[in-house]
Amino acid sequence: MNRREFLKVSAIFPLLLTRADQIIRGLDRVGSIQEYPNVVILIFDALSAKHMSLYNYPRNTTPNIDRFAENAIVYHNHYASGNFTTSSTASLFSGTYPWFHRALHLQGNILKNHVEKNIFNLIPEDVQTTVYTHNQLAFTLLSQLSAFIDHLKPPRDLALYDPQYSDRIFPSDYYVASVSEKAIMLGEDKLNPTSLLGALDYIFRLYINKKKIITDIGSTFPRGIPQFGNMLYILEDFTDWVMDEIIELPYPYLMYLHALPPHGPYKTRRDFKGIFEDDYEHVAKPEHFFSQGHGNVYLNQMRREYDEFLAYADTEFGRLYDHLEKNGVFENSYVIITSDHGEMFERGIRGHMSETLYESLIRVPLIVSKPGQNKRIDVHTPTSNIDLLPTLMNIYHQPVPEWCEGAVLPEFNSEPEREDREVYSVEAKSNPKNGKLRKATIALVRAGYKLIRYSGYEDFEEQFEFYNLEEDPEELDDIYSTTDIIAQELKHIMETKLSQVDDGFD
Amino acid sequence: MRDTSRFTKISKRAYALAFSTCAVLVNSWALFNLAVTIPSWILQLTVWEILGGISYVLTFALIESLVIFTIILLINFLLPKKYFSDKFFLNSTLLALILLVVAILLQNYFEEIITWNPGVILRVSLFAVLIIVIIFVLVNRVKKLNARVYAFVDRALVLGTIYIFIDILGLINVITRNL
Repeated sequence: MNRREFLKVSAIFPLLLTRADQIIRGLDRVGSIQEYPNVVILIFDALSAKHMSLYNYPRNTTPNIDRFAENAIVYHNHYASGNFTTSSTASLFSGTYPWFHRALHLQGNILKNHVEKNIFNLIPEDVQTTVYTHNQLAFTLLSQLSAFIDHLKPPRDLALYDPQYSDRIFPSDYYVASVSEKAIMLGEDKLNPTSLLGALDYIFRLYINKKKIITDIGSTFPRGIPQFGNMLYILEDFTDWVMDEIIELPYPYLMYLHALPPHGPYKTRRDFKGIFEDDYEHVAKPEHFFSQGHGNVYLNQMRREYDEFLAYADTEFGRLYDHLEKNGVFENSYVIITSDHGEMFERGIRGHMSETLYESLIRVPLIVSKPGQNKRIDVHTPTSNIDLLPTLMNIYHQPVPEWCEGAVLPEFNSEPEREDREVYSVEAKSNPKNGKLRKATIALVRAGYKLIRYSGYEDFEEQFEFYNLEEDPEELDDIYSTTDIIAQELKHIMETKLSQVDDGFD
Repeated sequence: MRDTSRFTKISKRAYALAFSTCAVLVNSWALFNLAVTIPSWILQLTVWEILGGISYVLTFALIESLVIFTIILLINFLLPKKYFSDKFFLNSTLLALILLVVAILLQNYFEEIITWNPGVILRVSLFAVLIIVIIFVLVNRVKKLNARVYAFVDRALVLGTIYIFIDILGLINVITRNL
């Protein structure tokens, strides 16, 4: 090599140094793409399948998810294992029902002896995990699993304002610190906080920050800034971050993303306010014994606001979808869209803080796009969010653990579809964490029928409802009878199961 | 010879009494609300976790007692001695009590208060200050009321000492949990 050639070659070095990280990432991607695919799991909180145009809802709420579904597997009878974030998300992570992991309460967490039983621990070590949730309840669970996650991003990172302090000051004792923070600064339900001056400071800071944010972007959100508890956020920040992150991550990766919309309060963006001011009125249903006392006019108004908030979430998904498509993410990744639970506007009940387990609360979307998939497949077999863990194990060629209660999703294995599969959903917020499931609502779906058992509540010891979902998808006609053979068969299956899962609890 | 210091020399015992009064008031409020909260914790937390939760509440109460005590010392320093230092016991107890009542009222009615226009807020604030001044004057002048406050402070000492002791245990537990 002569002097001239040496100078030419050395001129490249500074360029190599400045681009070193990108080059290494690129090599990572090329080197491991063959062994494991990328997986993106996107959760929309409180998204009921019954409100999606994809699942024949009369309003066009989800045109972009419909677009995504054109090249994906659409599961039509997918159930959440609970009716609120904590229990259902813990099921998704662990592949087990709430009676096993026992994250039964709002700020609950997984039993200590089951903490290691989770998706993030079971996937191959080569797969980089990046996790974000807006939802502080889900973050509480994820903090418990943080030892198995490569990058856990706290909710505040994509929030406009988050007054919580326990994640910053007490990260190593986050669970207990966050539970007590609520009592100290906010108080439980309608109780006063235990702190006097600290709580005042908290209220005042929240007011100042909220006022500033409203001044800045209030006109874009005429119903108020989207919030969860006292955390304020906009979905655009979430979408922007995901779009940047997804093209930066080294292969192979697992991204678990949990966005809050359409979770209440339903504060949609200006361009979606009023888009569903139409004549649509949902079928009126009889008031339930757990009714919150809301009338149909109010419920229909809330349903409309929810749908408009959902349309906003769908539009943001559309922006993400276009970005993923443009960057070829669908060619080498599984992309999964689902939800942790639904939302209801019927029988005098609004939202999901309810003891009931009707379809609008527990039937959630599941849409999975396989790498390079270019046609739509529809699956009608009942599935549950506990099936995600075994399906991921299948994708990563790992054995499904013995304790897992889920099954590999149809279209991911060669086994025939089981129409008579039993799928459960459990609501036990008032039951002690370590006690037998005495005060609980449990739903069992099997072969087009659904049995719901309410037990241990104040006004009655035990009550059943029974629906034929194929003939009566709105659950209007309770056909439970002690002489109905199918109802009694389902009751027997449920009781046998409960006696098994209660074994070992007091 | 004329006393030229801005305020009367206050004994260590007087400081201790004032601090224990702050601790009694703050801790009583904290423990009352905690007692109502604990049943929901029993459903979902282990005994060790409940003790941890209580420790955070107690630690916060200790910090708050110190903050209120500091405010009292500051006011004692700023006001002429004839208005405050001469009756340190009495006035510090009254001040702590008034601070806590104002905090409770603001906590409960903050969202309503911020909807008032500034003129109303100013008038209500002036009215509140007037009431506070009247209370101070009354308690300082009326011997019966005066005696009641002294009796309360006397009794508060034992309770205050117990509260401060358990607050410190809570603080130690919080530190241990976060090591």
